[in-house]
Amino acid sequence: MIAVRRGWVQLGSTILANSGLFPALKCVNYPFLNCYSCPLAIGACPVGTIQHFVIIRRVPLLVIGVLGIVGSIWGRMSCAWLCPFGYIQDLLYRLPWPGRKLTVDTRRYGWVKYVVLAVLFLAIPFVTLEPWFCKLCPAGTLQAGLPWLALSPTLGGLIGWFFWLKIALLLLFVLAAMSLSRVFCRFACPLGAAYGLSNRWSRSRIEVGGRNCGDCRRCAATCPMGLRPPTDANSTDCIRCEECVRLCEHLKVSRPQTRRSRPAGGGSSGQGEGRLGAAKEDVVFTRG
Amino acid sequence: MLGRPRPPSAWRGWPALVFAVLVGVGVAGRESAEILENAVLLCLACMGLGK
Repeated sequence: MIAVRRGWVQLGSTILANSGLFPALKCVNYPFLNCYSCPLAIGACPVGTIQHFVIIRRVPLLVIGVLGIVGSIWGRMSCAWLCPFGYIQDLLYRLPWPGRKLTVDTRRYGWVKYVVLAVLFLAIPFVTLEPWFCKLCPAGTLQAGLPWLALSPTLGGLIGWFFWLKIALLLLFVLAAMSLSRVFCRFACPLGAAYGLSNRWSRSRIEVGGRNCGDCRRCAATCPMGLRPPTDANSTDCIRCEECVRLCEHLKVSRPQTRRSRPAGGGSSGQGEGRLGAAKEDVVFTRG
Repeated sequence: MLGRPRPPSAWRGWPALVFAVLVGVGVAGRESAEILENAVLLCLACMGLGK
């Protein structure tokens, strides 16, 4: 049920973010990765915007503020529910693949995205004054380069070797996303790396009822990020897709509650009866 | 294995409040105009076209 609902939310977000409506909204960044060079983009890509501010030697307070507010409330949830490139990866992973789909332990290699964040996203643009992550970003090729070529054939005269390098990178990521779920989010997205840090303090959390976990690992099998939810809930790699919560009664999402929605007479930590009600006697643990 | 029990009832809205202040400072510093200008100037190089 959650998977279906999430799919509709992702589709709506993808359409709205690239609807061509409200072009003046480009003065504010999306809370997810979406190329602002897309002909129909209505917002600014935070990745491109931060690199631009790095190049002009300014601190992007507005972008950091927007991302920080979203991260503080929902953690990395926008990666799972709103990001168009994440949605495309989810669709690609559903396509048939010759042989077995790959499984990779994200905890072991998840540090790669922090190298991308530090080197390709910050250090190299700072030194070369060029937004090198954008130059190589497969989302940019898919959402901007190819559509603009289709819309303006005269741009074809500008194609050089670098364009074909970008096409090769895009194809590489497409093939990788077909065989390994969310491969770009796991190992390459600097925005996901930054958002992941906010999982530690965000108000929306995944609560784990510890004692009765039978270690069946169904939750791990369904996790698109290759995590083991009983121990990795709220880790920097969790994108809060809630697929594990759908399967297991020992996992529960704790959302921020307003005064109005908080149950009368207590509930200070925001834990309602919910699905965890069946395991009421458990101590509720969180990691991180 | 699963970490410490969560401390009760600390108000955890303060990080969002801090970031909201950053948004305010950014808007006051006309960063939105800078973001808009950067976003509407199509970067041909980023698209792999041109030099």
